[in-house]
Amino acid sequence: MRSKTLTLVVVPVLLAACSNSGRLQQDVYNDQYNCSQDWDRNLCQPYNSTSSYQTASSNYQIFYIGPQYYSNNRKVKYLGRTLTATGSRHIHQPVFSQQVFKQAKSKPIRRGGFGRSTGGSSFGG
Amino acid sequence: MKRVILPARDDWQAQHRAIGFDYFDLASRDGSMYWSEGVAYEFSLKEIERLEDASNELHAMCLDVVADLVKRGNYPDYFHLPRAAIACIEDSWRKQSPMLYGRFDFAYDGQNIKMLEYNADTPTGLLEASVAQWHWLEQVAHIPNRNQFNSIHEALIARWQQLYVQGQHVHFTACQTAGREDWGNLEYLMDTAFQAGLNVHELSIENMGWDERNFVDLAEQPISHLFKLYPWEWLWQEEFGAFIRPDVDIDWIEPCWKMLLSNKAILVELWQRHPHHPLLAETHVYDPKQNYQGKWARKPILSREGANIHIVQNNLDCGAASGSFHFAEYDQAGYVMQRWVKTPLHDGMLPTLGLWMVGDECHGMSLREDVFDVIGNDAHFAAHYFVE
Repeated sequence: MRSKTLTLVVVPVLLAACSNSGRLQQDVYNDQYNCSQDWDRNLCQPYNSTSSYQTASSNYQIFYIGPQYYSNNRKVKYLGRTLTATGSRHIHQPVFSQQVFKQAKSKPIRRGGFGRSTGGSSFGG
Repeated sequence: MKRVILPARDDWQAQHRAIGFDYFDLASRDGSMYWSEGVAYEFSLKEIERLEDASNELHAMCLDVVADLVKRGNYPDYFHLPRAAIACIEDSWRKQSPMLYGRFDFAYDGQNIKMLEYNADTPTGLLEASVAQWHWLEQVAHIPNRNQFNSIHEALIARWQQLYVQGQHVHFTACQTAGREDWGNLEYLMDTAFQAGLNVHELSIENMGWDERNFVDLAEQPISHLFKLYPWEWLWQEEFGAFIRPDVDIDWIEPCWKMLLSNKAILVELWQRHPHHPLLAETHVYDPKQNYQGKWARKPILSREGANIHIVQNNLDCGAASGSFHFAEYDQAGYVMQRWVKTPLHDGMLPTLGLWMVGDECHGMSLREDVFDVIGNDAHFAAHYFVE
């Protein structure tokens, strides 16, 4: 039913490591400068800190908060491009949230929402 | 149709590996391997033409069912469709989202052809059907004037060219934990798309991302065309299933309307519309209150590789059909009852024929055989040829 000799081109398998969605979170910074060094200045907002961020010496310090991202993918989509955090200048505890803020300037990128384990069996038929 | 034994080719293992068919030696429970070198089935041209015609006719009948169900907007409960899937099924059908490929499984006794099922969503066994058995045909000795029903490779390349313009980016995905067989199948399809001039990208389905507007790849680039070797019904069950919507700009290959064909409830619909059609085996929705006289196969509506099939004889559940593996996952939806198709054995082996559709035309055939009642994950691939 055909006469040609078949040719195949080798396509390398380039699989990246597995990841899961992780938690939706934002980094908190001591000041706007540190936040803008990690992200983009426009994505850093003043943050009304709770007592957990207040220190004995500065009860009225203004903290800054970065964009929402998923804990295993410290990147956001902003103005049509991907922005990756460039450093770790944030202070210890991130702020977690349940939902993506619809009005935010950037959007988090989530991974790990598909897939399951079948121990090497075929999914095909 | 007859089973023949031929000398093994020199160096056949190395040849399989050279084309990426490095899973030819997957072990079966009896200690043998997946590829049966030296075993082949011979057909006449007339038989091949009948099988080809039957495939095209059944495919057209299947499309008629989809068209009718979508037109009426009435999907029987026994399809167990997730509610969210219906909008996508209808949207993809109305937009005429094109299919790439599929495989019918037939029982065949040399005269009668019976459709056992349509692997319309995630058929595998493609590389060996398209390339490995063709190489076998070119190299095998002692068969004058042989030919093979097989233009799958050229048809796939032509199909990609028909679907997309040169340079189009197409992503290919499968589950990270899937076996080498699935990834080999996926990479072969990528190869055909590459040869068709498309830009191909591979990623595991676990690595797909969502940026609140698009599915994205590992470089955060939107995925606009996605071939997935992953069942539709599983996509809907998972976290990102919530983002599969008609307003999200992505072409799924196979398209969502294929959910209606890969579901064994399609066999019920076909039988209702074409009762006693010679290409169909009588099939009904399983009802435990019914009295099933004679021999029947109880099949899960959503299962693969012949899994979870039970034999029911004179209303008595005789247990799992020999050759049928069990996966708890497949018992979560309903079942159909398909009247048992008695197929003659060849040297003690039961062959099942796979007829490959590319687009809307049948382009080739493959065979698997086993000593069991059901062609399961463990069955063996045997090449075929025909003579005029």
